[in-house]
Amino acid sequence: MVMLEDLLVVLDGQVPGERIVGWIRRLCRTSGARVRLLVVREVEGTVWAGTRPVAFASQLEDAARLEGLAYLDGVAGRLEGSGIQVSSDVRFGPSIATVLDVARDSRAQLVALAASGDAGRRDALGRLARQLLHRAPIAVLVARARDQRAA
Amino acid sequence: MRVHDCHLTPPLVLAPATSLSAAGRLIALQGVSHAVVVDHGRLVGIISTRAIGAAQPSAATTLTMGEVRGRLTQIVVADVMTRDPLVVSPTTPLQDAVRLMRDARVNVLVVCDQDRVRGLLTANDLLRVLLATAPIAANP
Amino acid sequence: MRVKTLMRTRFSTVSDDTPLNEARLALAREQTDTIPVVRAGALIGLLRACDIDALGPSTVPSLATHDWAWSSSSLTVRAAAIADALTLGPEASVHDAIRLLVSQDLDAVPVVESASIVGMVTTRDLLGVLLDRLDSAHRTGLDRVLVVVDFDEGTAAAVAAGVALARQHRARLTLLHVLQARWRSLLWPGRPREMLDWARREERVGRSRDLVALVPRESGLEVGTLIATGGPGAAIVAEASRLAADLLVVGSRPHRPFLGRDLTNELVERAPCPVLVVRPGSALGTEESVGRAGA
Repeated sequence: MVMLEDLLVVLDGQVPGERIVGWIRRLCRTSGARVRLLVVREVEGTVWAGTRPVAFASQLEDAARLEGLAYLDGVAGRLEGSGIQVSSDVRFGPSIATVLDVARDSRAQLVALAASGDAGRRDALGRLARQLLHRAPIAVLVARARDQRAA
Repeated sequence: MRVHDCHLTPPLVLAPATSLSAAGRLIALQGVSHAVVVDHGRLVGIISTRAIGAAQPSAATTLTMGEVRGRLTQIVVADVMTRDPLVVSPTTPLQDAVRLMRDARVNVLVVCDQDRVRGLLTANDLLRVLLATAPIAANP
Repeated sequence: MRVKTLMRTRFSTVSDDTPLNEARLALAREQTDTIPVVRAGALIGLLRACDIDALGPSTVPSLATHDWAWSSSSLTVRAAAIADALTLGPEASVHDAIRLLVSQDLDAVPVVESASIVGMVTTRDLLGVLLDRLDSAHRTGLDRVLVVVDFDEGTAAAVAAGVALARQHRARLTLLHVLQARWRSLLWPGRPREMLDWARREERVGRSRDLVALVPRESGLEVGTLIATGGPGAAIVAEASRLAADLLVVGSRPHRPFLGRDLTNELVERAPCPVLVVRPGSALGTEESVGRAGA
C-alpha cells in the first residue's frame, strides 16, 4: 500500500502561506512522515553605495539563509510531537525553477503549498502554484491561504 | 479549547429603560466597551460606547447644550442598542467562536448559559489567548 | 513571529484633507474600522469609524432632526483623525502587536519603516492566526476524501492516491463523476423524448458501475459513488462542499493540457478544501491492484 511518507512543503515566509502547515500536520499525523520545509529567496547581486560596494551577494545570502532557517525552525515547531521528521532548506534563485529542481532531486512524493493570491481577483492562484500544477513531476497539494477553511 | 477556558469580560448589565446619559456614565466607570441589555431576565440587546457616541448630535445641532443633555436623559438604551446580539455558550469550541466573530465582523460575543448571561467574549480576550498560545520564537 | 510576516501590505489610505464623507465611504469599501492617514507617503494619523460617527449627526431620529445644519462636505479627515498614533516597526513581535491593539483598543495598527507606512496589522488577521492554531491542534487525520473521476488517463492515479490516503486515515472515500452533456447530438426532429431520458439513465447507471469497479474490494474501504451533472467545476465544488470533503483528489491530464489545466486551476481556486493533483506514473499515483479505468 502506498503511504504518504515524504513531502516537500514550500513556504514564502509570510503567515498566510503557513496555512499549509496545519494541513500537513493533519495529513501526516496518523503515520508520521518526513517533511522538508523549503523557502526560496531571490537575492540581488552586490549592493552599491555610489561606487563603493557595501555588501556582496554571498554576504547577503549568508544573512538571508540564517534568517530563513530561523523562520523555518519556528514553523517546524508546529509539526513536532506528531511523529513527523522535519528538515529545513533555504535555497537561492528564481523561485519556480528552484522549487522544481528540489522536487525533481528529492524523494518527495508530493509538493505542497498554500497559494495566497489576491482574494476577489479571478486569478486567485499565485504564479508558483500555477507553475507547479503544470510542471511538477510529482503530485501537488494546493491549499488557499485565504477564503478556505484552515485544517 | 472551549469558550469557558477563555477569560471572559464580566458583563455590565443595563435595563432597557436606562437613559443614554446614565448608560454612558456607567460604561465609562467600568472601563468596558460594551454592556448587555436585559429585560425581565432575557437578553434583548447589546450596546457599545461607539453606539452611544454616534447617538450624540453633531457640533452643528440647533439644540443648546442644555437641551441636548435633557434629551439624552430621555433617550433610552433600548432606542440605540443592537438587538439580537450574537450569542455563544460556554461549551462552544473556541475556534467556532473565533470563526463567528471574524466572519460576522463583530468584536464581541455574548456568552449565555441557558438564557443567563455569563459574560462577554471580546476580540481583545481572544487576542490575549493568542498571546498565551503563540510559540516562543527562535529569535528573540 | 514578526509583524512583517503577518501584516497586510495592500491597504487603503486617506489624506488629511480628504472630505469626511469620502473617508467614510473608503472605510465601508475596505470593510474596516480603521484606516491610516498619510501626507506625502508619511503616516500622520489614524482615522476610526467611531470617531466619524461621533462627529456626525445623531443616530437617534428625534435628535437627528436638529442636525439638519450639519454638512459633511466641509469637514475633512483632519477633524476626526487621531494624531500621534502608536505604530510598530516591521521587526516587532506579534506579542508587541497584540499588546498594542489591546491597550489602545484599536482594531488595526500601522507598521512603519523610515517614516513611511509599509503595512497594517489587523485584529481580524490575528484572529485568523488564532483560528489556524486552534483548528490544527484540534483535528487529526482526514475524515472524507473526494476523488474526481473522468475515466481518462489521470483516473487510475487519482483513485490510487485517494484509496491510499483513505486507508491511511480510515476516512470515507467518495468517487465523483460529472456527466458530460453529450446527448444533445442525439436530439433531432422526431427523436422521442423518452429515448433521450432512457439514454441518460443508462449512462448514469453504467457510470456508477464503472466507478464501483475502480476500487478493489481488498482495499477494505467503504466507497461511495456520486454522479453529478452540470458545468464540471461548479458541480465538483458543490459536491465537495456538500460532503464537507477534507481533500479533493484530481488526476492531471497531460494529453489535454489546455482543458485539463483550466479545470484543475478552477478547482484549486474554488474548492472548499485543499486539492491534490496526482500525476500518472508518479510515486503517489501507482497502486498494484487498482481496477481498470474503463472507457
